[in-house]
Formats: sequence, structure tokens, C-alpha cells
Amino acid sequence: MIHYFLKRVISLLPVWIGITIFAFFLGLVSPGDPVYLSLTRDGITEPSEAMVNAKRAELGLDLPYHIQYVNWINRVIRGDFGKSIYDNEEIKAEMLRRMPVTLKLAFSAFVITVVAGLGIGAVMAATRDTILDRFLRQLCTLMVSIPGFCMAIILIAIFSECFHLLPTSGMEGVKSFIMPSLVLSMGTIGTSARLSRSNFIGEISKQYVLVASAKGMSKSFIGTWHIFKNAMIPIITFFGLYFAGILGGSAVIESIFALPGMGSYVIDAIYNRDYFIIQAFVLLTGTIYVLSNLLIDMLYFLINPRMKQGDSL
Amino acid sequence: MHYDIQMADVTIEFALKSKRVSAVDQVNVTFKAGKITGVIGETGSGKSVLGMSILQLLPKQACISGTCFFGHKDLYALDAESMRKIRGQEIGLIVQNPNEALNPVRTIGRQLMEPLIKHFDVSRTEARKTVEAHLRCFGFEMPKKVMQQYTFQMSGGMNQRLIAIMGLICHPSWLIADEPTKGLDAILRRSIYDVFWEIRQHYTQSMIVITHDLFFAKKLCEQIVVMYQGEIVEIGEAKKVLTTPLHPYTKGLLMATPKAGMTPIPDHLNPSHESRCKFYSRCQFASAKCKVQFVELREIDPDTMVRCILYD
Repeated sequence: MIHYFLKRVISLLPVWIGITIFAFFLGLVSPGDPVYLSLTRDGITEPSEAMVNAKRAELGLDLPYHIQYVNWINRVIRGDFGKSIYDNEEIKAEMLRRMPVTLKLAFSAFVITVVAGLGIGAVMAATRDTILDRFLRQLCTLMVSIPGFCMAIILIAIFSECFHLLPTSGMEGVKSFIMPSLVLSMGTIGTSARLSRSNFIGEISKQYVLVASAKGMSKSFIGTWHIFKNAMIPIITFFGLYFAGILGGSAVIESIFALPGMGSYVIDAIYNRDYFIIQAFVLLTGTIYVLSNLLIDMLYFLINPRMKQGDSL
Repeated sequence: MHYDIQMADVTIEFALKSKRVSAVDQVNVTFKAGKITGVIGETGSGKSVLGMSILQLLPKQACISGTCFFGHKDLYALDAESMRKIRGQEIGLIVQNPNEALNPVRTIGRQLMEPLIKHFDVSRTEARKTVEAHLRCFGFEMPKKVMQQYTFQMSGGMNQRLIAIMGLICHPSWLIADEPTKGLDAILRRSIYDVFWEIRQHYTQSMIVITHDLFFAKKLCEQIVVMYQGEIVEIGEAKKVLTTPLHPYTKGLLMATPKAGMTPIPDHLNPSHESRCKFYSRCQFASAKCKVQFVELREIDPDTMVRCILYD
């Protein structure tokens, strides 16, 4: 187990380093000079050459790129993402303040997706080729096809405008998370339900299911103890990658529902050309992506005994 | 109490999208308790379908008519729950493809213990003990270790033995074996033969063995049922059928074995629409009589039945 874990960590390390390089160069190739931008943010000052050079030296931006990168990595590893060009606030402090909102949103969307995706998938597989199955399949296609922002507007129209049940924006406790997490999970519920359906059906026709029935096991027992675990193996990969992707996807949703999370923070940063924040966000989501991958691999290891054998060899 | 399995007027069709395909056609047969009956025939003759129908293990598209009495119960008319109680407990199944027959992510121990717990409501400890005893009986020297392992850690022969144990762990009075030697090499086939000999000696003598392995059938079975295109063409004592066959198809099957020189059964000898005998188009003994007469399965002597006008 530990051996396998270390192997995965070592293989994911280059990916992570790649992400850091990418995040760093994103800051370099973006249009606009951060030094100039930070000095002119009040819109009145026109900085002199000396001021620009002094600021440049202060930020370490006059050094060769590779040294800049090493310095940046050094700071980043210690959790120092620098200051926002726009309002001179510590990026780390702001991120920590906003992180819980995004995590809550991501987790609730994730839980909804897993429960609804697997549930609908299982129902479709169990009622295969009946009217219910066909209806749910169409519903899934519909859910995948409607873009998130569009769904958001529809939900706001129904639940906020029409019935006055849920707030359209801002933070009002649990209620504020219902619509955003629904919108965020909607498309993936469709995809994961279709995926679960085909996986469950694929497993039902395997011979071990016939053998289990021939032993006199009940349908529910076979479904729970035989089919589910087998069908989960490919689905776990999907959910893992989805969780990693939520953070990027949540940016748009957060800004629609005006939730003070990381996503809306980075969207504002993009408008303001606040490159340090964008860098930090890219790095952070990239890191979460890598960590989710590691988690998937470890789950794989736990659920699939074939991997354990490979490890002991 | 061991009952016979009596099938009467059994017809099984598969409702496909565009048409209905008949797999078993008007079969009447009694599988006698205490006897090993071999069902032989080529691929597609309906022998597996017939065997699986006894346990209601056919896919949803299958339409079964007729009756299959096991004691006073018609197995075709049973509801799901009553059928579930018969499976494994009264009629066990040994399947083909041993390497794919076990759940790859569930330990062998759990898979062997679950029918005991389900049918007899025994404790896990008791179930474990029973399973260990059976594993030892079938030549596993370290049953505790095997129970914690998975199917992919076993060899083909080991999986085959596990599948056999799986079928008989609850000591059913009947066993159905569906092509137990299909796709196996000579050495494995030999070990299967030993497994069945073991079952016959210690567990049950009431078995239906579905196979196209004539050598295996000859060694193991007492009665033989020959099927061709969903119909029974010959029933008889194993030795008789496999040494002095009556029906032209059985003769052809025997000629096609390696020992007899692998002579294939010819095809398209006669136009098939001329006769209602299904073997007519491939039959070397076909005559003008075949065109007019419809042949029922008829008794030659108390143990032997054949469907051919040659024996009118």
C-alpha cells in the first residue's frame, strides 16, 4: 500500500511541476505589465521610469525568468502568493477567506452528483428498456445539453421570481447553496447517470451474476454486493476527475449567484488583469487536480483487489 | 427425497426485435433422479437453453411454454422467491468458463459462504467451517488462504473446482452442469472428470450434464439425450447410444470425433423444405418416405427412443 502510494506520488510529481511552470508562464505571457498596472491602479498617477524600475526590482521582476520562477516557487511553497496588484491585499488571506465557500459549493455539488448520478443510473439499469428508462435517458440528455448559466437563469426564474423560495444571490446560509450546487451538478448528473447505467448493464450480463443467481441469491443482494463494486471501478475515475473540474466550473456559477468564493475572486481578477491571483488560482486548482488523481488511484487500490496483487509482486 | 425432473411439451422461443427464434421445440423428457443424464448435441441445438430453463435463468426475451415438474412443483410456473429457494438448495448449477464465473472483486470465501447463509441461515463461523471442509475435499490444502483470495489468483483448474463447490455447497439433490469441459485443454478436462467423479461418489448422483464432449459423456453418464435443432432425436442408455447409435445424426456426431477420423456431417444433401424432419437436409439415409411422414419420437425399447422413420 505504502509502496504503491509512493509510486503514485513520484509519478504525479512531474505533472505538478509542469502545472507550476504553466501557471508561472501564464503570468509572463499575459498582456500588460504588472509593474505598470500596479503603479497606475488609482488611474491618476503616471509613474516615472525610476518608479517603475524601483517597483520592478522590489517585485523581483527584473531578474532572469528561471530565477524568477525559482523565487516564485520558493514563496508559493511557503504559501505566499504575493499581493494583489489591484488592491494590494494579501492573496493568501483573501483565498483562505473565500476557500470555505467554494469548498462547500463543490462538496454539495459533488454529493448531489454522486447520489443522483448513481441512483438514476441504477434505476435505469434495473428498469432497462421500459418507459421509465427511456424517459430518464431523455432527461439525462436534456440535463447534459442545457448550459450551466442557462440552467441558473431557469432556476432563478422558477424558485426565486415565481415562488420566492430561494435567494438569487449572496450568502444566506444553506439556502444560498441549493441552486448553485444544483446547477453545478446538473450536467454531470446526466453524464454520470448514463455512464452508471451502461456500467451496471455491462456487469449484469457477466457470468458471475448468473452464478450468483444460480446459488439462490436475491436480486437485491446481487445488486448490492456483486454488481455495485464492479461497476464502481470505472465510475470512480469519472467522479474523481469531475471533482477536480468543479473548481474551475464553479467560477461562472459563483459569479452568477454572487457567492464570495474563489471562483468569483478569480473572475474579478481576470477583469482587473490581476495576474498574481490568476497564477495562484491556476496553481491551486492544478494542485487539487493532482491530489484528486492521487485519491482516485488510492480508492482504486482499495476497491480493486487486482491492484493489490500487482503491488505485492 | 429425490424427485425426477419431468419436462412436458417444452417449447422455448426468443423474442428478438424482428422475429421469434425457436431454441427448444416440443421437448418431452424425464431426467431420472439418481442417474447422470448427458444432453449432447452441436452448438445451437438448444441443450444449454433447455438446462438453464429448469432454473429460470434464461434472459427476459425467452418465452417458455410447457411444464417442468420437479416433484409436485412446476418450475416454469414458480414465482421469483420460490424459484430462488430452489436454486442452489435443491438444484445446483455448475457453469462453463470457470475463469469468468466468479466475481473478480469479492473474496472466494465470501462467495462460497453466501449461499449457506442465505439458504440455511447459519452463522458466519459455521458457514466458514462448511466451506473449509468442502475446499479440503476438493483438494485445496490451505482452505483458509484460498478463502481470502480472489478468482484471478487461481489457476483454471482451481477455478473449475471452486465453481463445482459453488454449485453443490448447499448439497442440492440435483446438479446441472452446463458444458463443464468447454474450451478446456486435455489436462483440465481430465481434472474436471475427477471433479465429477468426486461429486458422484460423495454428493449426488442426480445430474444433468450438458456437453458436446462425447468422450466425457461416455465416461460419466448413464443416460444420453441427443438434441438437434431444439428437438430430441434420440434418448437411450449411454453405452448403447454412444456405441451403437440409432439416429443418423447421432451416428454423424460419433463419426465426427477425432477417434473416428473427424468425418464431418455433410450439409445440403437434400432440400430442407421437402420434409418436416429437421435433419432431412443433412441425412444420408433420407428417402422418399421422409417427405410424406412426420416422425414422432418413438419408443424402440423401454429405455430407448428415437425420432426417425428408419425405425418404424
